[in-house]
Amino acid sequence: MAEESTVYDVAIVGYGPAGVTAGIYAARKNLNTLLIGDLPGGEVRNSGDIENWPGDGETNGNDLADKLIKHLDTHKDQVEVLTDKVSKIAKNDTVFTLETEGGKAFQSKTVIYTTGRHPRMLGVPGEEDFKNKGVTYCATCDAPLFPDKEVAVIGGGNTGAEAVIMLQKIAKKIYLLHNEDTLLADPVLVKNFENDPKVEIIYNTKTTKIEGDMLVSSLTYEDNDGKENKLDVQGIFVTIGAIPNTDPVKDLVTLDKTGVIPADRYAKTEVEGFFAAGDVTDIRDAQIVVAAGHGCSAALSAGDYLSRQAA
Amino acid sequence: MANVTIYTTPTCGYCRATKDFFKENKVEYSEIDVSQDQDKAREMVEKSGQMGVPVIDVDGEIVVGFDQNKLSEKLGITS
Repeated sequence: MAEESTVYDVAIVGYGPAGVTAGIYAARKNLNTLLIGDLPGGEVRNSGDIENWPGDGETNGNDLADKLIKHLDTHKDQVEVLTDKVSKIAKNDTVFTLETEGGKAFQSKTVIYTTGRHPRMLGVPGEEDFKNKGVTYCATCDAPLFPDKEVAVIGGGNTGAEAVIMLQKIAKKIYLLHNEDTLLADPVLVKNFENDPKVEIIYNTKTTKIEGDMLVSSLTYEDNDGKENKLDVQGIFVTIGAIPNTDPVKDLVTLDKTGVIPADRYAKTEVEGFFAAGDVTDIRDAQIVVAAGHGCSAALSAGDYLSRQAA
Repeated sequence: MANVTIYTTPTCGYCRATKDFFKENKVEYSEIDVSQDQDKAREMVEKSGQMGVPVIDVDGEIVVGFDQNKLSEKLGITS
């Protein structure tokens, strides 16, 4: 039971691969640990097929997330897990206080912040109105809702390419819109659909508006010549990058100009006792295995910091 | 015992998290896979006014998404 009267050794914010790995390492150092996260397994859950987690060959988001949770659960005597969302973190002298959306408050000597990122919105008229009414940011979650429909995927990076691949088996027609003249996605992914007559890749597009009635019915974009083009689509998958979840710590730590938390390879930040790992940091590679490794370093750094305090 | 129905798609992570939450709290529920049943998909959109999964129907009251606080409240679960 997560106790509000305890001063924990480590409070981990985030329940993804970085947070879970930090939890496992903290437990093995016998540190009194609290982990707070709103989605068990983190963004990994929404990953669809995963073929680059070393040791697993082919797996998928849900299975990998379950494995991570199960492993952390073997340390439940040392790590209290609370499904909730941290809304604010502050530092008072040598203790951090964490407030949650569920109305609770906790204290800890150190914090390991691993909250990852959330999908970036287009910021065009109609997007908010049709969110979950045809506009979605999670192909893994929602691709199955569009059988035999015409859909658009906006953003030609790896996430967009993976969305197209998921949709190939489901939708009738897929438009992949990208704002440059070459896709960013890995060639190994693009190979899956570059010759598929169902998939039309449109380059140099700038989405200008989304329209519909009860549900989405069209998307309008500007091409390089400034001409407006309209596509009749019943689903729009927005995969244009992600924004770090840093609201709870914006008064605690300085963010860099892209909004991430600068952290070194040991997960140390400018704030003593506050460590950050994974996608929420300025890590170059937003990959599951990198997040896990960074989470490990964060726990070891926290352990090291605590033993110096005791000395 | 509340009548709980959850509308899901097979790959949706939040759906899985919601079902795990039900299991941990011994909540009985029935599941409808809307990727397999267009009529049920329509029913879900009508009930919730939107297309996102999961949608949970607790005795006729609708919760959209893995909203642990709301679900705990409606199911009488205290943490």
